[in-house]
Amino acid sequence: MGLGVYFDNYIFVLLFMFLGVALPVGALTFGRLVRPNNPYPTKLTTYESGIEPTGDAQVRYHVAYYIVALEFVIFDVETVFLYPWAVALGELGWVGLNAGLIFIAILGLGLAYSWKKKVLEWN
Amino acid sequence: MSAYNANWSLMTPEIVLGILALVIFTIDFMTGVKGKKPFLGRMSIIALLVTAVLVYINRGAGTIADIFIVDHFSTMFKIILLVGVAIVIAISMHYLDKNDDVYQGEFYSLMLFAALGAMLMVSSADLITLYIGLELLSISSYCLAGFKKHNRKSTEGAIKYVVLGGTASAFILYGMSFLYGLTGTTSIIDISQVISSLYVDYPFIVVMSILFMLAGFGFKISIVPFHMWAPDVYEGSPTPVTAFLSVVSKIAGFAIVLRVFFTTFLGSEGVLYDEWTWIIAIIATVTMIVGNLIALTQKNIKRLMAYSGVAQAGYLLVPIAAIFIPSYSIGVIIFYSIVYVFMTLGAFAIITLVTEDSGRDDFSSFSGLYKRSPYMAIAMSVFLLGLAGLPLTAGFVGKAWIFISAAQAGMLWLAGVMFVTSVISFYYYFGVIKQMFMNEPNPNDVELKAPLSISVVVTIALAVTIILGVLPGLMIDWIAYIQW
Amino acid sequence: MIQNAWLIPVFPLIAFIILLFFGRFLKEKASYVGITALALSFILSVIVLIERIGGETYSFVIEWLTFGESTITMGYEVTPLNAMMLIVVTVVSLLVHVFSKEYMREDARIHVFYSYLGLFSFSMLGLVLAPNILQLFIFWELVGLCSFLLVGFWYFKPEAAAAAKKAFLTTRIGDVGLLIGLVLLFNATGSFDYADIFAAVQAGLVNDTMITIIAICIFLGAVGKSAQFPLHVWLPDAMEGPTPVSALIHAATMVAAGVYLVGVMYPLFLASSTAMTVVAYTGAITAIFAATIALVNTDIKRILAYSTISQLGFMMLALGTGGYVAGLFHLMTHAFFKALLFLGAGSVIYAVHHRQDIREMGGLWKRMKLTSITFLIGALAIAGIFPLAGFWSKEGVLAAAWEGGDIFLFTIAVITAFMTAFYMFRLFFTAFTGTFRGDHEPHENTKLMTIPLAVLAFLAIVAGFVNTPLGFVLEDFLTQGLNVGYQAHGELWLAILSLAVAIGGIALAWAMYYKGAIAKDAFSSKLPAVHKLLLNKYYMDELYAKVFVQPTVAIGKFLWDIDRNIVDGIVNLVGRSSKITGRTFAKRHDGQLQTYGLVTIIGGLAIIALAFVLRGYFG
Repeated sequence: MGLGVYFDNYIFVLLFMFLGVALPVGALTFGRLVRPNNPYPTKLTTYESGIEPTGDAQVRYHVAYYIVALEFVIFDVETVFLYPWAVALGELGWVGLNAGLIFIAILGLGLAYSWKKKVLEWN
Repeated sequence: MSAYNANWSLMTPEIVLGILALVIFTIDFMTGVKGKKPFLGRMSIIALLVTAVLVYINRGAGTIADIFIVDHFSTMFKIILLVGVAIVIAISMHYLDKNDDVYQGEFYSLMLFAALGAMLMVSSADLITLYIGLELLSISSYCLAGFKKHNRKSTEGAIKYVVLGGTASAFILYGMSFLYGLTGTTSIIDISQVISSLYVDYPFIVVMSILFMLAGFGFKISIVPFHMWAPDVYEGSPTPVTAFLSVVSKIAGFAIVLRVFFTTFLGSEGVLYDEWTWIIAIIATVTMIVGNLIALTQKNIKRLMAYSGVAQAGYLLVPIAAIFIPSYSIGVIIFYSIVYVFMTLGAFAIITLVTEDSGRDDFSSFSGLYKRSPYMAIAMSVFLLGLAGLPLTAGFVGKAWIFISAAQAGMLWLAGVMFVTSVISFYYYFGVIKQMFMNEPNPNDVELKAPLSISVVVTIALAVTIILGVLPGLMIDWIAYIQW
Repeated sequence: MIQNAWLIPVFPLIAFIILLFFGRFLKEKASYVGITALALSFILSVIVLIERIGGETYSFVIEWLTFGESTITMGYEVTPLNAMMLIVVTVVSLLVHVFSKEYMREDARIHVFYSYLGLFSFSMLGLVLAPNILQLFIFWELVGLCSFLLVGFWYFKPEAAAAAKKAFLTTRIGDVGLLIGLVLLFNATGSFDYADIFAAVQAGLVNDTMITIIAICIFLGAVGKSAQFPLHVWLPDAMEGPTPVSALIHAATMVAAGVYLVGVMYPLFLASSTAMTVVAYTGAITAIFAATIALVNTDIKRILAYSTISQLGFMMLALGTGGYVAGLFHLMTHAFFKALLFLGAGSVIYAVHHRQDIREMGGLWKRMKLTSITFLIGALAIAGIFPLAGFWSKEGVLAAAWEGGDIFLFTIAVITAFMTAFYMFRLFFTAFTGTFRGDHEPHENTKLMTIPLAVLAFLAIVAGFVNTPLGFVLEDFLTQGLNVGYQAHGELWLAILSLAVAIGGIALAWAMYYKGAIAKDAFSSKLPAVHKLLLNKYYMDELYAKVFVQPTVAIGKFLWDIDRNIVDGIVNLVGRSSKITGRTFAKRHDGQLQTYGLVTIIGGLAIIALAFVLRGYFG
């Protein structure tokens, strides 16, 4: 494999980059070209499920949102890990079982910690 | 050899430290979130020392499935790092005693996790393991840097640290991806076996890989031009965390630079050495000059230490740029690392004591320290003179050794730059010494009483600085038998 | 006893340690500890010298470090040269210890003073006993540190604190050279030991260019320590320290260490004629340069300081022209008479309540008989009047310069000798004769201060007799087992010339400052520009501040600005250029985080670019 071949593999990357940019830009441009354009103030307001929009879009969320979100991501990823683990447990044997249990235990400790720190309580 | 039948006992110290860290973490949240918890500090120190002993008992050679390696090199660095973290915790105990608004238990457990990350890093034989260790260390450090969460400077520093640290990690990963792309393996050892032929076929990519990793690691060890975060983060962080960053992060970073450069890139034939020697020599030169010259203009002791730390990183780069015999360069770096750890931590112990007492961290808080606490003033002078490289301190032996090794490798100009910039460093270190000895104390400063933990740390660091300065043979003979 | 020579530096070290821990309880009794330690060192030094005269060089070393293949040793040795130095150092140090008991009596920190003196004596004696150049370097730095502490002893005077820092940092510039020389030497010969180095040099293992480079690097260290031009600027400022310190460190011992270093490394210098020339010319330039400044200065201690610089230049001149014995002989005699002059000055300063301007003195001869007589002896000795010590050693220096064959150097030496006699007697006649112009009536000091003066005066008279045409005892002793080339001896005409020059200088000073036959401003009024130049010491301090200090600090500030501002500008630039394209992504945020990120990336790219330039990818 020569240097050229190595870089040839980057063609896919470039292709993805190109598509990533071209698709949204192309779709929006195309839409702009074909759609009728008749703006008036009510139409330009932000769409919020039919409710009258209030305030700025850039508001500060309560910090608890982020912490809960973090917790969610952690356990979400845990689930992703545990599925294949559970499926393949028979082949993994005792070593695999122990490894998984340690993993769960550490996350369990983390949960206990956030519980103690009142992260799970909303106020 | 797969993960099933590997000799996991090689990892005993890491496992023990991990368990102890979790135990301390659990005890902390089970005993309430707030309040002073000096017992956790003592437990952490014991945990670290126990681990250090285990590391020593476990020394020798072996690998786990080519991802984890135990050799003299890693053993040596782990002991240095563990002792370093233990000292930092001893300093922290005084700090936390003064600042009880800080969550104490988390502070200690984060330190322990960081230490664990550093241990994983120096023992890694695989780029993935290396990266995980690095991130464990880094993420713990980010949290620690922002520990004074109601303090503007602390949070600002922490944010900067996170963002720039993330950038650096990206650099490292990108560099690693080149190697993986070429070889299809992440094992450092496997890569090192094919690096020479890879270099012949793909010089461009291999060099890019080196440079990206150098840029990423350069951030962790704060070399110019990747040093910009250091002064802000050092100034904002709680002082013991500053000590931690300037010692533990930096030395762990150097360990990993050595591992990656000397194992992976040097390969068996050392063909890549010609590639990096000039680049690193130039970076080292710029780092020494910039670090020392900017330090001249600083009036804040923590910023001064940040720039002085930049300069010290420059000195440590010299043996990497000028390799005479690889194992010799490693010995030089290990010796200087040991010396640097003790001198810097000793200095930071006193900085913590003084700045926490006065509540200010500019030079003037050191005014007349000699009158307030002669022992601390003398010890501080020894540490600073050691960092500057005055004979009869360990700093001199370390520098002289670097100097000699550079000369032997034929890079005398680099050694010359190092020496000239060290002379400049005397100027700013003397500025602090002058404050301590030749100024009167501030009117409302009374006699300064040091708590036991600080006194012990200072005494140990002082003893090491002087003993290794007078009898460096003790350590050099021990280092001399380092093998890979 | 020669095996126990290591005890000589240990006594003062013990004194230092005792005073460090118990000094504050001992207060003024601290002086006894110091004096006892130095007395013991002195006695031991005498015994060692006697044994060395009858015996062989003794050396004892242990392995200290092993770097790869080479081993570095530590230990001590007694050679003729350092046996002589031991006597010089212990004698002067002992007398200064005694003198200081009275001089520093009223100082609340007298115990600290004595502890520093102990540390200094230890370091200086350690330097002298070192068997290899690395050990010498270690003690070399240590004496520098002691000098810092002692010059800054009265730190509440801002000048003293500044002078201390200046002294330390200026000498370190020379040390850069010394350390580079050391490492080169180690690289070339594989050893730091004097004997191994000389053997390697003699065997031709080191090429000539390298020898020259090494010798000049090492000489640079000597230039710093011995205050040779152009690194002499620290010594006059160092006079801010207590006067006994000036006598001990900045006249007799530490500043002579540079000369001693050249002496110790002499075989290396002999192997390079270029290095010898450099040494000779540096010495000559320093000698006349400092002497001219001393002509116009009015501070009693600074006149002596410039005189010291000038005399050290004399020693270097002698060494550089092949006068190994002459240079070291002058080192010894100079140590005695210059310490005498400084302590005499100290006695005067003490008596007139710490005034140092000679214009505010006068008429001291009648009021302080013993001090005046001893000072006169010192002045006659330094001027080179037969048969005082200075006459013999100065004649040796002139002989070496003459034999060296460079008539220019010889002329400078003669002119300097004339100036020396003139400025010393200008000082003497102004301060000791005429009418008293100060406001506190001075009185003779107690015996504690006058006895050291008397002892030194005695030595200033007799020390020269060890090397006279009747018997070159010192020469035979110092050159034992050493090949340092032919040692020149002055002929009769040279002795007469030297004496005539000295008498001429004294006579001119007498005519101007005692008799008044020639107006005091006879020269200064005719050449005001020269006078001003000399008064301002050739503007060397200002020059250095402009050329070295300010630019360094400015570069530091500049880099600091780059760190903080310039890169910020680049970010703004990026922002503005983005605006042109209609985007506003560079909306200003607080802080400089983006800046740092940008620097990181620019830095990374710069390194990559650098790498490719080095690899030649860009042509």
